[in-house]
Amino acid sequence: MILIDCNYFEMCDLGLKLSDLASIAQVIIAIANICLAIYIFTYQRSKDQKTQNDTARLNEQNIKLQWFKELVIQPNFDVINKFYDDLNSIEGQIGSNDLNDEEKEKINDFIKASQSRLRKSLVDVLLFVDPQFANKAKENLDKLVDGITEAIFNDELKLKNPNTYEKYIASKISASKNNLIAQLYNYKGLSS
Amino acid sequence: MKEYKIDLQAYRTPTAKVFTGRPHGLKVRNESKIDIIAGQYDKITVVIPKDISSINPSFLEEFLENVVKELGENGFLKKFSFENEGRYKIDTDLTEAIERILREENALSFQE
Repeated sequence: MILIDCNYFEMCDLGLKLSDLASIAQVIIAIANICLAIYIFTYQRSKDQKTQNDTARLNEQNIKLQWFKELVIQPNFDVINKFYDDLNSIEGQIGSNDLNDEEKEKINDFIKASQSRLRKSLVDVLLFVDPQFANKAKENLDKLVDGITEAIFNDELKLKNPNTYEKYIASKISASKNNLIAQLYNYKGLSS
Repeated sequence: MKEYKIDLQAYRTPTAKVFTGRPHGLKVRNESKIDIIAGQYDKITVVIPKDISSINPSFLEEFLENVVKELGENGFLKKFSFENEGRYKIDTDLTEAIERILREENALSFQE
């Protein structure tokens, strides 16, 4: 800028002619062009690499999701439904508001046995596919079964009363089922 | 032979007839110092209160996680015994908890 702003006499003082300035400017422009070309080349290459990585990742996800569906979900679809049907069936086993401990234990054992079957069939497979995902599913099932156990052995709850049953058991069963379905539906094939 | 007793009565929620949940299992594991005790004694007896109706696997899994991993199933069953004068039998829940712990450990080593 200093060189461009100065007048002819000042340029002569510096020993520079207009043609020299033009040459310098050309060199600067050429260098700038080279820099820009290098930048564009590098930028484009990293962009291509990223796109390539994203595509590979997406393909891997799709393959994993396909296997997940075929090997984990489809064979367990009936097991999942059976588990929640079993839990819903305890309404019929609660014959009165005054079940004795033995009757309560029988219902509780039935629930725990159902959970154990689902654990062996679904959660154990999930553990090998994605431990983080399996733990979320296990937490969901434990929370449900523990909640029902606590409700059954809480002497203050009159579970034969439909409203009480709905609040302490039925609503928890449906919330857990919805939660499990949402977890499976939203699974992306990779935990991270 | 050095023996030790862990009485679950000390860790029971007042009036509760059940032990449930991972947070409670973790709390009892820490407060009872079972992981340290397991290394210091030859025989450990876990005393279950007489009127307990269930100890859910979620509780047991968290309570026993480290000792089962450390000793393995056979070592654990050799060192630990459960005493209950009441009707509740822990065998099924204990087997379930041990299976869960070991299955998870296997899965994690498979991932590495």
